Order: sequence, then C-alpha cells, then structure tokens
Amino acid sequence: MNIDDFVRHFEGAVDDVAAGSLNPQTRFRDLSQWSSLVALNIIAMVDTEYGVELSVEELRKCQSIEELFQLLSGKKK
Amino acid sequence: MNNPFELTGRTILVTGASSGIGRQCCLAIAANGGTVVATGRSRERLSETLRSLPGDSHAGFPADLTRAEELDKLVQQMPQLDGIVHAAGVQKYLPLKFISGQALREMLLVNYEAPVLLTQSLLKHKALRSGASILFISSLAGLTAVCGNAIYSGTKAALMASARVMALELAPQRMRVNCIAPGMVRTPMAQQMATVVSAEQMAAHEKLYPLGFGRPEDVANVGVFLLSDASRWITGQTLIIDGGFSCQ
Repeated sequence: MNIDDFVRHFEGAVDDVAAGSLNPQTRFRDLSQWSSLVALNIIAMVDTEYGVELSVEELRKCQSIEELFQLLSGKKK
Repeated sequence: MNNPFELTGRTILVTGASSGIGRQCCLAIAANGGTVVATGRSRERLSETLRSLPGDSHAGFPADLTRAEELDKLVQQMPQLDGIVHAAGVQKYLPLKFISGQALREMLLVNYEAPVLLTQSLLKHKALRSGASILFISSLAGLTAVCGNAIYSGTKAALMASARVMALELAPQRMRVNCIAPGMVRTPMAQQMATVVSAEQMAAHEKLYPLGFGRPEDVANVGVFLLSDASRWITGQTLIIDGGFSCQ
C-alpha cells in the first residue's frame, strides 16, 4: 500500500475532483463535494482496491486522507 | 372443516434458514402446523433454528446452494414438498463506479441463480407435490432505487420477472409461484447495511416508513399465508410488505 496511490484512488472516488488536487493532509470531510454518497464510494473503493472492509464508524474517526490510510494499513495486516 | 390458513400436513423447504427472514419463516411455518426442512450454510446456526421450533418432525440440511454438488446432494435428500421459501440472499452496497464483474456475479449467484436452479432441480426430481406453493423473497429494492443498490436491485427484480413465468409454467400442476417484496426489515442483513450507511442515516430512512421498519415476523406471517390454501388462487404476484413506504 502506497500513500500516493491511495490519494489518487481517493480522488477517483469523489466526483468533480481533479486528479492531483488532493493530498495526504486533506481533511476530506471539509471538501465541498463531501456527502454520504461519497462516503459510500470511499467504502466501496477501499473494498475493491484494497480488499478491506471499512465501516462508516471507522471512516468517521479519520479526519485526513493520511489518517484513513494508516487505519487501512493497520487493518490489512 | 379445515382452516385454510393452517399448514398442517405440509412440508416446506426453507433456504437461508440460519438467520433473519428465513429463520423466522421456519418458526412461523412450525407454529402453524407445518413441517420444516431447513437449509443454510451454517451447520451451527441451522441447528439453533431447528432447536427453537415447536414439534419434532423438522429436519436440517446444511448446504452451500451456490455449489452444484451440494445443491444436488440436498435435492437427493428431499422428502415430498408442499412448498419452498427461497429466503437465502446477500446484499452489498456497490456504487456504479465500483461494480466489479466478480462482485456482480457473486450476488447474482446467491440471489438469483441458486434459487432458480434449486427450483429446477426439485421439479426435475419430482420433489414437489401437486398444489405446491413456491415463494421467493425478493425486495422492495427490486422496485425502487437506493444509491449503491444497482446490483442487489437487479438480482431482486430478476426473481420477480422469472417468478411470473414460473407461475404460468407450473399452473397446469396447480403449483403456485409468488414473490414477497419486503422493505427494510430488522435482520442481520440490515445491521450489516447500517455499518456502511451509518446509524443516523438508517434512522432518517426509517422516518420515511409510515409504519417504521419491519420485523422478520411481518414477512414470515405473509409467507405462511402464501404457502397455505388460503392463497390458493394467488399466483404470479409480488406482495409488497413495506409499512407503507411505497404508497407515498
């Protein structure tokens, strides 16, 4: 798992976000595009790309893309 | 005169009997005098279901119905059946952008292919008595849209469409085929859905139901009616059980 790939996948899961416009420190819940649908996309992306089951409660605990990445890396082991 | 709503003397196969709606159907069938033949993947939870049934004529056969050998083995062991409840099913949220061929095929396999092939096999082995009632647990999702449910909805709508054709084909043998389309029911499947959409969203969603979310008994009781003689003239139908959601 690589943080830069993860940020790109994250961008792919949010509609109307240009590739390269997000970074690990991005506080994703503050994005204007953020919604419960996007949350659903993130959970699906994590499952499809990384084979990890993420719950919405776990997603809630993360503020930045990097924090989410740490959480997933932990789960994948 | 016999009570047409009772299932006395009738043997009913229930799939997905280990939990949720399937399990509740077993309880309701037994409570109304029927004999249950239960199948599910979990040997343990199947035994638990059987232990909780009144009466001692019931039987359990653990099986994974997506595997041809296990489906065949189950069918070979079947007694003469007066009904089937196809309650086995899985749900996973897959927004359109993230649908994979594999995930699509998996859900289609459990929710559509397995119940159809099981029905076909039972018919071929002459395991269904004349006058048998076949019931598919479909879903309101097969009729209405919720984001992330494209595949699940597809599998549930497929059941409804095929059930209508089966109803026509089997009418000469006085067999009936119907679907139940439940709205959101409090089952383990719903709990798993809540881990993805959050408890708050679920609560907000429940406000859209005039009578709130359903309980497994709400579906099982209608199942008993459709399996019984009281619904003798009902076939090729989908009964929507949704606490008023779709009437708005």
